[in-house]
This record gives sequence, structure tokens and C-alpha cells, in this order.
Amino acid sequence: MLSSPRTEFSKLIGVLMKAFKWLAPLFFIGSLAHADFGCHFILNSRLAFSLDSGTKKISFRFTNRQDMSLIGLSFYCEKSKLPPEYKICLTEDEKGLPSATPLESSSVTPKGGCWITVPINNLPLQAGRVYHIVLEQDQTRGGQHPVGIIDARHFASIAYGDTLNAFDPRDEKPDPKLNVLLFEDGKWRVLDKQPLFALHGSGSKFQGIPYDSLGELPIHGNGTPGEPSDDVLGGEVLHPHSGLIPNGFALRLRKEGHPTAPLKYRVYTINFLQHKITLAFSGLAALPSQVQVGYQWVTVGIKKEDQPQEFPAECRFVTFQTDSGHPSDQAPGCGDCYLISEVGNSGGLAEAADLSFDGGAHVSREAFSNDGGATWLDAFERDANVVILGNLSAPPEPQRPAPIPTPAPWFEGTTP
Amino acid sequence: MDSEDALSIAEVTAADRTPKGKFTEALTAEQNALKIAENRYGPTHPSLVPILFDLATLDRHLALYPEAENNLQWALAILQRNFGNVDIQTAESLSQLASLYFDWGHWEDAEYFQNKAVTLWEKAPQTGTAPLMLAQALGLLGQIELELGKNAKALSLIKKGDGLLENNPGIQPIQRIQSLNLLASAYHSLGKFPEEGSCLQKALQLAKNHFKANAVELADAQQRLAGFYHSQNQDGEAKPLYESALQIYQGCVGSYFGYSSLPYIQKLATAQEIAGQWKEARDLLQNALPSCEEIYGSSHPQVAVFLLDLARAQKGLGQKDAAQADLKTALQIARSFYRDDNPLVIQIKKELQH
Repeated sequence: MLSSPRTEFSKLIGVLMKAFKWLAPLFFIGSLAHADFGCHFILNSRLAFSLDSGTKKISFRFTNRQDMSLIGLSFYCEKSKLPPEYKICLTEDEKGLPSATPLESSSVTPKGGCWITVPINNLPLQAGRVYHIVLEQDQTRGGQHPVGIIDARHFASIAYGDTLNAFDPRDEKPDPKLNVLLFEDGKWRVLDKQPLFALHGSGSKFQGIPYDSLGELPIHGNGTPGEPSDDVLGGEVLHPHSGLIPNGFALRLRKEGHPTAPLKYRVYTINFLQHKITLAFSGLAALPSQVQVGYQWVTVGIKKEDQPQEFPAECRFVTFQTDSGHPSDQAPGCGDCYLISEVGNSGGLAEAADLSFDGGAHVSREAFSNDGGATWLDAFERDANVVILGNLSAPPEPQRPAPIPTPAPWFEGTTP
Repeated sequence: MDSEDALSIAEVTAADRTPKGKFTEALTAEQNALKIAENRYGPTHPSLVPILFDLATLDRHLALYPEAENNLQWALAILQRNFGNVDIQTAESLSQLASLYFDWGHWEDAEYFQNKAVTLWEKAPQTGTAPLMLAQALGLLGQIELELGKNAKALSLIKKGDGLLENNPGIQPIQRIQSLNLLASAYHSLGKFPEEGSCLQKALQLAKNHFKANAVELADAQQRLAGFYHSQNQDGEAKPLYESALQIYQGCVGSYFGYSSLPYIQKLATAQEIAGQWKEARDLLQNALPSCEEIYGSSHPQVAVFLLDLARAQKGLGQKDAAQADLKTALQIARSFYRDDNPLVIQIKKELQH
């Protein structure tokens, strides 16, 4: 009954709920609540499509969210090897595929392993319309005949994510049109993968998917189980937009090796003026036997005895700790430990922090501590897959005018 | 500007423009309020619900029924998602949807949602405003059942609702009068004319007791009762009531043809037609029609109603060609909004045939 973006939003939450692991009756498990806030974006691996032929193209399809004058486009070039020049076009959508007529285009010879940004000449984009960013070889480079060599030794590959997260990472508003399309053998096909791109508009308007980098946040006791002051903690600073009464957390979790101690959660408050970090409440998150070797979304219930506090519309550190484990020089950086999946931008993309979950610096972002929680380091362009689950607290009653009266019937069906 | 201020300004602007008939401006402001609230709270937050209700109301003013439906369904989904399907907070949302479908002429959909609303209201503790809400909900369901031809059921529902109002000392007199009018319609549908007359007489008495001698509420009650007497061939009883109503309506209409005057203009024109004052009715409606079109747009059910009334006046003056043309336009407009079983479409077609 809902219009499709809202239906898709509900479906997204439903799919994530189905992926949650059921925990043992050790914990109080409330039914998954009516509100959640956190980063659901998943990236397991970064893939790439090689544009090693003049007949190949790649398109990133998206719904533009706001009216803007486009002045730049960005994409991630995975690899380049003596590449030719490529054309990057912005086109409208025609029945799910890019229109043959570009609205605007630019050309670039990309360097591999980084974000590439090209200028666009003030192209007006409309809110709610679907567009494509299409990349292909610029075969004529403005001339009349083909120039440039493109083959297996002269090419660039364009990156995309393996898992389609069909929403805008900033507020996780659904975009059912988001997708990657490839043009090969004379036709387009939809991949159901994650496009990686950014739009830059005049007046600080932007939109895109900046998460090209996947990582793991290690949680361990630094090899000193009886010494909490050197524990390595990690999690996410979350800044809900309105009050949340928490009854649990969801996190994307796995174990490395054989942790012996349980995983615990800790919620910290920060007083920036006093530079003071205070533990608000904490509790048991998971036992070693309940965590798998591969990543899974795990639901952690909050018990009454944890004395949970309401999350106001402010920053709170939602972090995790264990006495178990030790650092390691080898990936993933620890042994007999726990790891939380995280995503981020590797750098070189303007406004990447603004494009990430919750947008902007100093709001929701990844955080970790190497001294047991005494001090914290933030990563503005990175987000851990940690979510607060709860119920919305009653919003402050706004002073709004009385409801607009419904119209009287125009015709009552009576005749003189 | 802080988004809270921007939100308040948008909502106040919408509330300010609506009583002036500036619906398009009000709609734009309310849509802006929704965007701000959505950005602030998220798309599934209960704070969006009152904004969605207002948006839907503005859509209804402009006869944008699909858009109103969309907004009300979104509101209902938010309430159900946050509070569950059987929480009393969803009752108003269900009723709003039912009311929309009723206006739109989708009787079956209206019945479906209003049944759910009534069930919730009946289960709620009957304290505070709950009895009044239940009475109103029963009244609407009764109206819906009348349109569906379930007349006995309609009567039972409306009687129950009227009973709740009669026992409630806090209600406004106009609410009881409206309930009595509805009860009269239900009796009429079952051919119970003495009971119908009794209800309308009670309504008139209430109007006399609670409103001034030149109040439009009194004129409305007189007009309804006069219509009943006329239907019973008691024109001797009908005539003084028609004349009194006409006099009151004349006092309500001057030379201003803005939004707030349109309902009075319609009532006066109808009263003039009943009195055989065809030229006066025609001139009044012709003068008001441009204003109506400016407020609502040239293709709007209100314009269709005006054209229907105008055509009657033109027929009374023997201007059959002009009447036919206006009726054809009215029918085209009405059909673009409603199904063929809608009372307005039926009435226009009836006029076209005579």
C-alpha cells in the first residue's frame, strides 16, 4: 500500500532482520524494535570491470535526490595499464537503461587505484529522476576517426562493490534504482551490484556511494587478560536524530581463532567541553560459542540489569570489548579475538565523510581505543556495522497549528 | 535556519493559506514541511503523521484523490509500524482513509477501513473524547452503508451514534443537528417518512434554540425540513420555511465572491431556484463561477457542481442550449474524478436527460 521507496525501506529492514542470528536464552531478546539507527552498508569485496574494448561500457544507475547543478563526477579506477582516454557521460534513464544521448560528458585518462573526479559543465539535475553515469572508451576524442589503443594491455578497470545496498548511505533512504549495468556483446545487463560514484553539485550539494574500502575492526585484550587499560576496543559513534530507547544492538561480527572470554558492549557518553568520556552502561554481548568464523549480523539484547539509558539526539560511543586475544602482524590484526566489519573511503574523494553514513564529520563515525576506552580515535570516513535497536522516544511536542479541517462535501445528492 | 523553525514556518504557512482558499500555496508549504520533517526524523517517524494528514486534506480540497490516498496510506503505515495494528492511534488514520474513499465514491474501500476504525473505537475505554469519536465513526459508517444500499444496517449504526451524542452533554449543537439529518436520511431510505420528519423537526428546534435568527445553520435546517414537506406534498408547510431560509441566505451573500463566500452562494442559488428566481440564481452563479475556477482550477468537482446549479437556472429561463453545454462540461469534469455510480455524475446525467 505504501509507495515503492517506503515499501523498499521496510523490506530492507525485514531482510536484515531475517539475517540476524538468534542468540541463546542467556540474554533478554526483545522483538526487533520499531526503530534502528546505524550503518547497514556491507562491502565484502571490491570488484572491477575492465574496459578493455571499445565495445564495452559500464553504467552506474541512481535516483537523484535533490535539484542540483552538477559540476563534477567521481568514480573509482581499480587498475589502469597504459590506458586510453575514457569518456564519462551523464545520461537519463530509459526503461532502466542509459539513454543513447548523453546530457553532458567529460574525458579522462585514469590512474589506477584511486578515485577519479572529472569536471562537468553545470548540468542541471532534477530531484527524483533516474540517471546513469556511463563510462566507455572515448574512441574519437572529438575527432572523426578512432584513436587510442584499447586491449588487454591498454585498459582501465572500474570498481564496484560486490553487495548491492540499495540505499543512500547518508540516511539509508532506499533507492530501488541503484545498480551497476554492463554493456557487453551488444547489450546491457543488470548486475545487482553496488555502484561506487559521487556527484558534486554547486553549492555544496553532493550524493553518492563513497565506500570503496572494506575492513575489520579488531576487538581484543592485547594479550593481557587481567589488564583492561591496554584493551583494544572498537565500535561506532552514533548520533541518532531523535531520542531512542534502546533494547538491543545489531552488529556484523565474527571471531578469529579461539577467543575464550565473552564479548561485551560498552556505551560511552562524551562531554566535549570537559574532554571527559564516561561509561554510561554496559553488558554482555556474546559468548565465544555464539560467534561464527564468518561474518553474520548478530542481535544483542540489553538486559534490565545493564541499566540502559535512553539515547538522546547526541553522539554516543557504542563500542565492544573483550579480555580475550592478542595483536598480530598478520591479517586481520589480531588472534583469538572478535572483529566487526566496517566500510570506508580509502581517500582521494572530496566530501567522502559527507557522503558516508549520517553524513559529515563529528556525527556518526567509526571509533576505536587502544587504551581500554580512556581515549578514542575517530575515523570520519569509515563506519562500523553497528546499529542501535530500540523504540523511538516520544518526540518533544512541537507547537504546530491545529489540523486543517477536511472540506465539506461539494455535493450532497439532493435536489430542490 | 534551524530545521525546527523551518518546519514550524512551513506548517503555519499552510494553515494560514487554507482558510483563504489558497490551496496550491498551502499544499506547497505542507509538502515542504513534510520534506523537513522527513529529513529530521526519518521517513517512518510518527511526527510525520499530522503533516501527512494535513497534506491529504489539502489534496482533498484540490480533488487530488490519488495523492491524498498515498499520503494517508503512508500515515497509516507509520502508525501501524510504530504502534501496531490494533492500537487506538491508528483509528483516526483508518477513519481519514475511509472518509477520503467516501468522498471519492469508492464505497467498498470506505466500508473496509471504517469498519476497522469503528472496531478500534468500540474497544477503547469510553472516557474523554472516545464516545464522541465513536459516534462520529458510526455516523460515517452509516453514511457509507447508505451509499451501498445497506439501509437497515445504516439506520442501526446511525441510531447508535446519535444515541451517544444525545447522552453527551459536551457536544456542539451542530454535531447533533448533523446526526439528526443523517438519521433522517436513513429513515428516508427505508421509506419511514414520519420518523424522517420527526428527526428534521428536532434538528430545526435545536437550531432555533442554539443559533441566532439569521444564522445559516437555522436556514439549513429550515431548508431541509421544507424539502421533506415538499417531498410529502405538504407545500403549505414547506413554503414559509423555504422563504425564511431564502431570506437568511440573501443576508449571507454580498458582492464578495472569494473562497469563504462560495458555500453561501451555492445555498442562496439553490434557494432562489426553489423560489423560481431563475434569473437571480443564474446571475449569481455566473458571477461566482470565475472565482470558483480561480480557486479550484477549471476542472474540479466544485466547478462541476456550480455548472449543474447554473444549468438548472438556465433551464428555468428556457436557455436549454446553454444549459446542455454547461451540463456536458460538468459531466466531463465529474467523470474525470468519479465513477458512474457517484451521486454527482448521476444527477448531472439526469439533468441532461430532461
